Amino acid sequence: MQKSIIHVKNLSKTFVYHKKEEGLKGSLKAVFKRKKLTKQAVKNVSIEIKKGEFVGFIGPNGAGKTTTLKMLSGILYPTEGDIKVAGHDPRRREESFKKKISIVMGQKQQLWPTLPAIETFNLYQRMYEISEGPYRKRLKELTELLDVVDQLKVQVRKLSLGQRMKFEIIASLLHNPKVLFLDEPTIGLDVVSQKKIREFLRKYNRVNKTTIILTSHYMDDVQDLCKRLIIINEGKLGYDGSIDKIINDYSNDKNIKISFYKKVDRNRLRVFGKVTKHSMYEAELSIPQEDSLDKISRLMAQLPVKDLNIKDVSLEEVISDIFEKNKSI
Amino acid sequence: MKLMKNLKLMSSTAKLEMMDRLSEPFPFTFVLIGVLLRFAVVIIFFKAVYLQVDTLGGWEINQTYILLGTYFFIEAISWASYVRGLNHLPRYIEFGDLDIFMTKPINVKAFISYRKIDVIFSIPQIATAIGIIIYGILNSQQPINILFYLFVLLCGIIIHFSITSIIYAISFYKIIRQSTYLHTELHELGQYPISIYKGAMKWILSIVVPIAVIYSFPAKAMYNDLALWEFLLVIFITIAFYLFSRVFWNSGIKRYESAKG
Repeated sequence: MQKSIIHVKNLSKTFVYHKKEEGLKGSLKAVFKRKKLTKQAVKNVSIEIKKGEFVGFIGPNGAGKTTTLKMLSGILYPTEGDIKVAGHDPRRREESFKKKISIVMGQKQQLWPTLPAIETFNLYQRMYEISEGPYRKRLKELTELLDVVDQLKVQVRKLSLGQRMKFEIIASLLHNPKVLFLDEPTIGLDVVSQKKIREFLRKYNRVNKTTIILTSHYMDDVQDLCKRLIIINEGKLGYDGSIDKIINDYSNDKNIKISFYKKVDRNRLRVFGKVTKHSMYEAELSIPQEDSLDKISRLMAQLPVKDLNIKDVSLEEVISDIFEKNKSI
Repeated sequence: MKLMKNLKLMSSTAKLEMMDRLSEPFPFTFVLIGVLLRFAVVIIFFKAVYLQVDTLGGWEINQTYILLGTYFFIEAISWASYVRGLNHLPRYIEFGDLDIFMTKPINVKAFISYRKIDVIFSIPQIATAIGIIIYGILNSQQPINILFYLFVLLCGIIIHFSITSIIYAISFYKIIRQSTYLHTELHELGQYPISIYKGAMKWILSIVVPIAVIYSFPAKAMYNDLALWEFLLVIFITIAFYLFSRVFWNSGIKRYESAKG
């Protein structure tokens, strides 16, 4: 059996924070006396991740995803629990550990903004003690794969968000890490840039067998790249399994998209299922799986159907349903 | 090995910082004008004082020039090398920007210290400070001990670095946005001879916040004026503050909580 590259047992993190009353009076009061509160951001999380896995790590805002990632990468000191990443305890923050991992944070920049990306890369060459030959070879490979060779000497602040993110990814891969943490790498990017970054990451994971943990609010990223999904909610591990399984287990409906050659009133559709979208000549319905066949055949017989598409519920729909209804997972 | 790596990184950050500074218009002008004005005002102030008295707390004017030169030299060297980097620390801590440094194979404290290293742009300040020290030496009627001075000066720089890193590392425990103000005000006390301070203040500035050891003691060493107990105090304070600053930083960085988003 393949050995785990990431081993987490009973990991917890508690933050201390303060509450301040509203307004200037509240600020003055807070100078002398502040209400101290604690929040357990991560509660007894245990995970095993094998070498080469591409794992989606998701949860609603404030669920504890980023906090967990920061503990795994040595940024935060856990309150309790055991962690081993690539054979190291991240708490010790050893240089040999940091050479085996990398983190890309979509909302934080590691490149020098006023200088071209190549200057930061040259600094990282020294930081990671990469010899000149392998460094140049790797830089060439990565810039070609991400199609940013021509932007290498352009000031970072002059680049588009998509180009900047590509360079952030290159900066994090120059030293060929064994484990890559991606914290919302496609945040704010347009659809084309998201797709290009996804294609690159998929290929990179397949070729280099790098273990990748991805957090993203874009479920397309997760569904497209990861086989395994870990869901965290209110600091607790909710689900750890395949994406297919969660869709099968949690979706009770089929989504149907219909176009009509005559106008069809919304009321006539309601008898078949939940109408999620409607215009006179088009509609989308959500029909319970157990009687979907029967309802679809009745719908086709009774309504002026021009075209009909049946699709399974997407991961995004399943996840938003789980989070909105706070279903137990 | 680690020293070599740090030296290489230091040269890289110096190069990057220089390129960064050159990307702005008139990079030299305003800083240089400001610095030269400050030097002039302080020297004129002491010149005016010495027109009224022969000595100030037992210090004659040339020894005071050496003290002022030492003060400006440490100020210029420290701002050029580590203060400009360390004074970003409270902001890095408050907004979670320290995250990136924490995941790099570097000594975080050392790297942040020299991340904003500024070699070229500090040359005028450093040269002026050295000029003031040389002026004091050349006009001095007393025997001079340059080696002793350099040794005590080196200790002074180590203490300065330790105090600076302690001041900024307080933000690991409680965010202090005015750290730079505290740092500047504290060190400004050092531009006066220690002997003008009396009683508890003198002891506070010699031991608790040893500003006197940083600035006045090298000037005293230059004149062979440093008593044995003062020399031993220099050694003790240097080691104690260096070790304390390390412990303070290491325990602080464990408390780092990053920031949301």
